[in-house]
Amino acid sequence: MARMKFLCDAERCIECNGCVTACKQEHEIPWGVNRRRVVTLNDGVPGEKSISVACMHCSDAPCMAVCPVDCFYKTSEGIVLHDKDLCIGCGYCFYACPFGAPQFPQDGAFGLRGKMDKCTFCAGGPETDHSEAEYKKYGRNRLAEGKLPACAEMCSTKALLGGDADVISDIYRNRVMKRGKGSEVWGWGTAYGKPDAKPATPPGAKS
Amino acid sequence: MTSIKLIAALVTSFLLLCFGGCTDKPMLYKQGEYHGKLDSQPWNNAQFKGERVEWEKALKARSQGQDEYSRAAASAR
Repeated sequence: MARMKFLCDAERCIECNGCVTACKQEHEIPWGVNRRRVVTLNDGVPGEKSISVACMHCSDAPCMAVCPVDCFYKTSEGIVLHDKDLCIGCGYCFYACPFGAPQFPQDGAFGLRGKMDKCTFCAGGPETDHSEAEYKKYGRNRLAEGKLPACAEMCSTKALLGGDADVISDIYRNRVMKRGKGSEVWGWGTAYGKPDAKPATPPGAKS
Repeated sequence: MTSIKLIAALVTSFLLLCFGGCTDKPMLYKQGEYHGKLDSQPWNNAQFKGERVEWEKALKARSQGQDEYSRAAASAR
């Protein structure tokens, strides 16, 4: 198995925020923390493009490089995780991350920053798998259940793919080769009829 | 001669006492090394019983569920 990765197809994302909701619901993420969010470029302009963004589990993660207490680690599947018991909430990782993935709970009377929280690729954390402590600190460990991240599995248009990098890149490559454009688009013939098909009733005939 | 040696030893021990605390303490961590709790592998649980291959199979099956081309072809058969 190669590395676990996310891949978002901007041609398919419809900005439904289903991935964001799935993540929030799956891990009971508190108010103010968004492990995943949908970013739209040229919002409102024809041809706008949306993309779902979270921790990209970088191969050479800058958050790991800047962390002063070295609370980050990488699993054998290439997932970047961290130990919340070591995190001091300094925010260096937030400045280093090009995707804005690290999140800090800011509730409370004095707007305390708290420990960093980020996408875990639904792989929990260093606590015992499926334990109460793991769920409270990092959310559900779907990977240990043989499941993929909730956001990718919940995506209605399958714009967001998650899993083994080799497998999802094959899916994406196959999709790009097959989907074509205009009337070549997959499903177009079913929805609007094939371009070379004769009309059901010839022109001028009584219906 | 012995008094000079005694004075030198006294001065040295006094200086050592004075500046003994000015050395660098060893850091608790080394850069680039993880210092948290160790994580278990996702296949080391009651469901997969340490069978990595079974876990990979389960994940691969879920991954293929994301490919509607193969799903549509399978349902058309």
